[in-house]
Amino acid sequence: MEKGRKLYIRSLVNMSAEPIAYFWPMRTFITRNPLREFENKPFKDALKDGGFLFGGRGYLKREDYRELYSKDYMKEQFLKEGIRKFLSFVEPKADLPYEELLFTLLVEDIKEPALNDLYKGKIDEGTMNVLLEHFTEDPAQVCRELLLSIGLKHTIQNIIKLLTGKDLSQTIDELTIKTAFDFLDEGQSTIDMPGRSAGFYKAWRELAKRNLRFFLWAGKGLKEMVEAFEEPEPAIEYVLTSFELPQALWEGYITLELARLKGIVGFVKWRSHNKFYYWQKVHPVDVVDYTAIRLLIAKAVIDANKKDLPFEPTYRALEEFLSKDYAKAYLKHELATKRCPPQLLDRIRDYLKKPHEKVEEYTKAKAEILTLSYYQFLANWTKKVGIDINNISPGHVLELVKVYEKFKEEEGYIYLRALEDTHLQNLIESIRLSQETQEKPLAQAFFCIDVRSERFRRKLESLGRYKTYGIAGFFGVPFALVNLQKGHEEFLCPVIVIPRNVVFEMPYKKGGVEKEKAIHQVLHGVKDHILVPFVAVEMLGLAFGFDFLGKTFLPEKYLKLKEFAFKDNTKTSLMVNKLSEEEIEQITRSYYFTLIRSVLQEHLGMQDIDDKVVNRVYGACINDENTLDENLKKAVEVLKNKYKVDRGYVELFKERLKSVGFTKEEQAFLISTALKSIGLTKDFAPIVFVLGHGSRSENNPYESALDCGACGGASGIYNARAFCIMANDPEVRRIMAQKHGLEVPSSTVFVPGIHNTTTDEILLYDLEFLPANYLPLLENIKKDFERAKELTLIERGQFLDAKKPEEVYRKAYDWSEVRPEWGLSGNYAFIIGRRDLTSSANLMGRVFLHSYDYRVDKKGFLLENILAGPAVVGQWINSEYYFSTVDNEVYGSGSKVYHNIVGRIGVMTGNYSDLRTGLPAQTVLKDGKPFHIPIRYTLVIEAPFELAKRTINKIRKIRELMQNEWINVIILDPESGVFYRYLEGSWVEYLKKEEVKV
Amino acid sequence: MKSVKLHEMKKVEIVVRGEDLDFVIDLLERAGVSGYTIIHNLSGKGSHGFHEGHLLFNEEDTLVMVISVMPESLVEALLEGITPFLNKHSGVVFVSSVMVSRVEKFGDVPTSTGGGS
Repeated sequence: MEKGRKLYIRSLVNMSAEPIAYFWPMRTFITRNPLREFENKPFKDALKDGGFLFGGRGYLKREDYRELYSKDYMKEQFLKEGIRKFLSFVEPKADLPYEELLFTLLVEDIKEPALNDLYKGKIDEGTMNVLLEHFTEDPAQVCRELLLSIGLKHTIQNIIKLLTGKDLSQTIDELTIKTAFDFLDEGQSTIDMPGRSAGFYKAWRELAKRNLRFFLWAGKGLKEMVEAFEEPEPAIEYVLTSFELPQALWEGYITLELARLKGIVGFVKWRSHNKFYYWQKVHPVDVVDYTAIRLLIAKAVIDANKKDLPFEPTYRALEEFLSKDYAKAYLKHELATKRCPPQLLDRIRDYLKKPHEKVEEYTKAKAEILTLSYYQFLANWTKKVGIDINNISPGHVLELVKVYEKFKEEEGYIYLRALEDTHLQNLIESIRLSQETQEKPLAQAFFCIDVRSERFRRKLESLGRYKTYGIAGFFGVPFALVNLQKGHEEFLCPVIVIPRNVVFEMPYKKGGVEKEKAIHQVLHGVKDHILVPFVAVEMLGLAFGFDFLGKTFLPEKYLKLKEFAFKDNTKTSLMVNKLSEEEIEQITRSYYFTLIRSVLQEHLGMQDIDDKVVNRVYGACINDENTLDENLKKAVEVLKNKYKVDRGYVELFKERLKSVGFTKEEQAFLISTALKSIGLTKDFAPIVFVLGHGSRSENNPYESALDCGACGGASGIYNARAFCIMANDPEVRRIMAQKHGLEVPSSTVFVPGIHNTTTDEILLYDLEFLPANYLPLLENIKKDFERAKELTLIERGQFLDAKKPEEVYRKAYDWSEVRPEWGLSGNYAFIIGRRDLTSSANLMGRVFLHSYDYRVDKKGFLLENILAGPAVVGQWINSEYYFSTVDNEVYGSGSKVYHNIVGRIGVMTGNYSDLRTGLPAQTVLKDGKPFHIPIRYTLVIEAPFELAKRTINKIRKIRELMQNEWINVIILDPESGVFYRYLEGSWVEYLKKEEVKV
Repeated sequence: MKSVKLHEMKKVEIVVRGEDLDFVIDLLERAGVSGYTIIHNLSGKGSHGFHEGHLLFNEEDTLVMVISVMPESLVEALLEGITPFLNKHSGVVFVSSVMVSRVEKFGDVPTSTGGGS
């Protein structure tokens, strides 16, 4: 295959895979919109596309909405507004009380038309005739639509099922799942799939040639095809060509094949975009490999079954069958899909013997049944508003049917808007305009924007002079952490950021030594041991193109050190500062000298090698000198060629070391930006708590879904600790004052900690570095933390069926508890503004709060950062909850009770299923009913109207979400007290707060 | 000292959104280019108006440019390969002629033409 063609196929597959959302491995579970790739389309259209592709529902069922209505979650007024808007669009002619009729339909239990519930009375002949005409299907048209659906809604195997009832997709899925899990396994399985380092396609190809299972299900055709194609691209082209699919349909067709197992494909996508992921390095996989395998399996399974089919399984043959033989095709379709009413099942088999003659008889009989079932429904419905259906003229009855059919498509959206408008009205009513207080705070505390912070913040504030702030839980300091316990790099920042700095966790001995000194002393000895292996393994991999990194890639020395580190209660601190030039030089030499020494020993058999010799060899390698002895010259050649000891690689080694830590300037910039973005620039309290959040729950493969989304699904404690080390550094504060005009008084200390959202405990860290004179104050504050915890647990207990705080607490630690906390259930809004706006409101732990003060952000740069980062991540979370609730089977992951962990990457249901994506039923449903109220995200911004509008327009993602109606946006202009809302393409004045600013 | 001898090559510049960077790099690598340069966070004006780059905690929402120099034979394959992408996404591709001295660095062996040596 020509290179250009190969690249073309590859790109095409990549484009086809775009509608499938990423799926992160469960350890770093990140919530995201399952329809994320449709966000460039209007919300309503995207739901339809999602339905075509994944078969998912976009709205709750009518009965679920009705229940929410009965619980006052939506106001009558908003439902009626929706109905009126619908009617103004449809413009029905008949003089019927449509508004009342449709409202009744929304709020009362009216049975839908059912084929087993037919009208028994007499129907006016004229009415009967118009309805019969309306319900009579055109078989040729049905067949045309089937043909047009290939590549848009259906694959060849789908069409086979729709025409014959034969379900080949199950077999194709099962074979694909088996092979994908074998390959993707991350060390859970005891038997390894062989040859995985060659990549997914090649490894599978070797296996498929011999595997009996494939032979049994897919026939010998598979073996022949597999042998013919060494690479995935030509295999893809072959299968699609053999189906005789027009090229214009290829992209859509591949998408349909990929959408069938969206969990596995989402994971493959994620993995192939994370080149540094260990398992991707050792067992490379991408969607092109996957597509080739899936298509080959599909082709083989279809071919193995084709002798029973009434047509050749190709697009052209289907085209002919569906046009020339449409009567037969139509009747078969009716039979295979249960579109055929049960009353006609006996007859349809006879009709099929002479399809062209009998098809009309069938469509007539079917239309009659449909008419009677609809008429029964109409009679029930109109009776509710006191109208007898028999008194309505034929034309008006028909119109009523048509209005009903249209309304069914729109009702989900009408319910949704009513739910949202009700929430918005309540939220806005609870907002108060900010007022300045003169009171000096006792302490300030930063919490994550997470909705679960709100209850605790409210309770803490009620206990005294506490000021709390909401900030994304990575506190504006993104980095990759090398954790002492885990020994591998973790990205601690939102997944939309790639951290450029590495921070190491380092041990130091507990004792009375001052912080700086202690760290310095201990670090000096261990730095080499931790940093060298970290850089070296990467370097070696780079230099030799092979990979020997284990999951804990740091070698033995490191592990020993770790033991040492955790002995004697040795504590750790974070290395946030850069290494000096000398340190870099020293570490580099330490590594290369060890390498050179062992090469000299191995290749030249030299013992007792002098440091000077090593030094000379090193010099010769990097400076191209050649004044050495003959055998050393040879060693230099070996070192340069085989071990890549040369100037370029040494420089790379140093470059990598330079990415460790932050310069003081960077630190000052990050801390200043973070403080300014939450509007804290003066009146610092003596203690400022920086509280990351995490959640503790045993027995939960989804644990990281409950952890912080803002720091990549990990607990935020490391970011909090790094933030405090930086913010407490006098040098950093000096630069902050000089360069960024932000003065933190020397009497203020920053103390890191963690807010456990399952138990609502606050656990503080690094207290040993706190000057002794703060301890009395701290003791008092700790008591308040304890009281705030109790109060919060009581409030939360109402929703967890726990009466006392202890019970909530116990649930968190009980492994049999399927629902330790409700996570972010209920979340619906994200407020960017001062805390005073909401401090007097009970937001029920349902709102993200990001502090922001427009007065320190004249140009809107800080607002841009908040919108582009945290606000976007909040929307991911919100939409994951939305879709997992409206269709838990398709977009959520079903019940946790049936979950099995597979390959250490995710969960499946039972013994074989796709990787389950989204949230489990226990997180969003209660007794099968929605517990999370699925509504779209509302962004509230407190900033001058013009500034806010301009800023939104600059951030593409937010602008797109707003214009496509994925989110609601409200701007509160603090100067005028006016709320503006973006509605259907323009900004409207929504409400004016008449409160007078005192 | 001998004067530097120059060889003709093609320079391909591709501007895409940050979220599509991975795709473009993968394409270049599979096409067989020997190297490339990435410029993050671009500013400038195009058909969608002015785009301003500055610090954002969201790298998917920025514009990036990838520059690569390659022999002409690769350009054609690359352009064929990027077609499905450009049919669906916004992006810009420029191809221009450049002269390079060390031709072996760009994945091509110097041909014996061009003045002889």
